[in-house]
Amino acid sequence: MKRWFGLILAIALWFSLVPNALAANTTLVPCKDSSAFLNRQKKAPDSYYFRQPYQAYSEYLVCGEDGLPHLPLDRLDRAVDVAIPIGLFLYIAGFIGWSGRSYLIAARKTSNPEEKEIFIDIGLAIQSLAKGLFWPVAALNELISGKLTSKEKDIYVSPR
Amino acid sequence: MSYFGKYLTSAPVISLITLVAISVFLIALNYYYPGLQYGTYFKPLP
Repeated sequence: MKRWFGLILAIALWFSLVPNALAANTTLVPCKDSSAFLNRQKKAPDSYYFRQPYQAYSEYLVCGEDGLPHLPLDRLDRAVDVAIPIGLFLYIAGFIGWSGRSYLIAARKTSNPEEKEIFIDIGLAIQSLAKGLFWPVAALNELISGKLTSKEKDIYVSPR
Repeated sequence: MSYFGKYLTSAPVISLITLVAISVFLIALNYYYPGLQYGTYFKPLP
């Protein structure tokens, strides 16, 4: 019940605290209209790794006065530009953590858990990696069923 | 021979193999989709 109250409070705060609307940032212009960017593009080495990225940047991104692409955080129409990298980061970080966690939990059930930490059991590791792919669903399931965290009585508190 | 196989599954060796595999994957990704960073995800190159 306590957990649900926390969740409801978080959602209520999320919707009630509306930030002030900001004027659109006008110092950033589409890269193909930025003279500094075009200058940089002209000076860049003529190779595969420069030609294609510069073309993509001039087509899709906004540039500052320095002629470099910037990710604006003050407008919603370009939110996907930051949402995708943030989402990828969180997913990959969670994938690494969840696979390791499920490997350790599975190793604990075997007869020699310490050895499995030093010599990796490849079959078990691949199973754990596969479980890690679906970590957002698994984590939510465990959070709701209470398996994600330890019970209060199992946590050792030093006497004070 | 079985000792060598066991050595190959030791944590430092496995982590090195994983590191090399991820590096090769990212280098190949950058070769086929250059400029994938900075918000040009999922957009075709012009």
